[in-house]
Amino acid sequence: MSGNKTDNTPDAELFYRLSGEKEKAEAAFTELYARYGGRVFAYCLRFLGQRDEAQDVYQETFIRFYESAQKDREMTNVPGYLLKIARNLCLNQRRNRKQTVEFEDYQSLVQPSTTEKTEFLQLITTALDMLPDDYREVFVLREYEGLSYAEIAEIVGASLSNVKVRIFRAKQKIRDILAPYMTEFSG
Amino acid sequence: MSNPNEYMDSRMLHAFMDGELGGTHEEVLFQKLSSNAELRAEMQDHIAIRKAVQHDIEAFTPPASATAAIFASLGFTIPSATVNAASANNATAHAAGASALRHMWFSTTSAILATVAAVLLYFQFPLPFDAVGSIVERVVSTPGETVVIEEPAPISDLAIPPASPARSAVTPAMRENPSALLPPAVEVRDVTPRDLELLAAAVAAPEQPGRVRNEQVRFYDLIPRPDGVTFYARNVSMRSDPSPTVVSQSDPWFSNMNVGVLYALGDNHAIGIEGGREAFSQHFFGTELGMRVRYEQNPLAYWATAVYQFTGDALLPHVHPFAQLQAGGAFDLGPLARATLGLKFRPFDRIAVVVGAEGSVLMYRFQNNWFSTNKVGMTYGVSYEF
Repeated sequence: MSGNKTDNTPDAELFYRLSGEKEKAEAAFTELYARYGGRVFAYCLRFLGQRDEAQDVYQETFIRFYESAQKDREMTNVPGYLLKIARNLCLNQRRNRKQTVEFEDYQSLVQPSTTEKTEFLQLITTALDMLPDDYREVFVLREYEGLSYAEIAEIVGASLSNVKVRIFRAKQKIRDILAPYMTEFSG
Repeated sequence: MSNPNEYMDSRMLHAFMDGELGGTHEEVLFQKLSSNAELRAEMQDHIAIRKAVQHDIEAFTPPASATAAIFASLGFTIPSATVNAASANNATAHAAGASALRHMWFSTTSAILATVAAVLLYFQFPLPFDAVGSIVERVVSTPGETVVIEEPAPISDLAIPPASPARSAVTPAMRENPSALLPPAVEVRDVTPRDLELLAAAVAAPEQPGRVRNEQVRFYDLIPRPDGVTFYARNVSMRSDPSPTVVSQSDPWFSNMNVGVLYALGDNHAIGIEGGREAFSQHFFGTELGMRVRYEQNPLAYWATAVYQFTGDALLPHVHPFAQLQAGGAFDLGPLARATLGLKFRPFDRIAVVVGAEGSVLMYRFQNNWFSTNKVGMTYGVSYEF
């Protein structure tokens, strides 16, 4: 996962500084946030599909990330670690949602986006919402995060071959869902 | 994808597009693409999907409120680079009218408060032509000689009868020439040992009939004024323009609490320093990648200022008005000015309770533009004089 880096300090060094003096910790956290904030939010939003939930999980992800650094933990893959935290929180969120959804009108979960979006992108996110969780997740990690198959396997805790199959099926399903519209948008 | 070959071709295509296809398989795939229109169509579809996903700005832009909440909860200053451009436009459009009015109201109120404080200070300064009236005099008269002594009036002076113009030692000439009342050091050169004896007698026998006062003293003027170091702590409860839209870090022990120390330069004037910690709601605009972006943050910041305080004569028993001007800065933010008008209730010599109205203006700069945060509200606290 590449980020929008604004200095050349390695992630591991920045992570190490998080457990140091407050001023340095703040600067390091700000830099890591700038590098990976967008990607983590994209994962949360497209995996969960709801902006409010995604925002809660996103905030919790970075707070837990910072708190875990306070324990002088050694770190080799900061973005992977961030996504793992986000993933656990997203799964918890979805589990909680499943427990309560039967008491609510399902329509209340389908919230219109507040931000203007292209029509095709709107179709893609709708299609994404229709995928099973395990397909949607690998699709987001591949297409939004740009992770390799091996990195995705590491994060989701599945075998490489399993991940390859899931990604392939996820993409095919999205293409199938969008098939009626593809001639209009793929040209 | 009705047969295994098509399935394998698609798998190869996906692996290639994801950078996971080995070199030997690439040539096979290229050959298939050159001859298979359906496979090319599939590739075009996936390219279109990928292109759309890469332009999913909404997903890749964390909301400014989320960024603010994260940094505030960790006690950090919110970075300027992580903001929500999309929400900025909405917020700007909806809030523009109300914000402008509110901004004007707060700015005007702050300015009025500061102006009133300045005017009050101006008229309360002892001016040269008023010097006679500002001095409490004790006059000791003996035939042919007059000695004027400046000193604080003792409580026993309450028994002194009203001033008698005929016996007043302050002549019209002296009123025109206040320098005549100047310091004992000038007068002492002409004072004889006999004068000193008279002076000693006057001090020892305060009710001597020959002593008169040229102005009436109110009994509450006799309460000792601060002439040393005063410590104080006060709380402020203020409304802010712009109003906070994001949660600030909270610290129940030291938020909106100010502490200061004053050194009295005289009966009315004191200087000192004051510091505190409070949240400053900031709304400002900038440009990123050609887009106008609205930033919102509410950092909890330490601030410190130099203080000038003027304390007026008692309006009521034990109650003195005061005005205070402060100039300094909030750390990491920008210059800060504060003005306070209020009352001090001093039931005891050393302890005072303070209430007042306060206005403050914080200036801060972003991308070569200046912005301000204005506050007005109430302040209350206690002070102790050493």
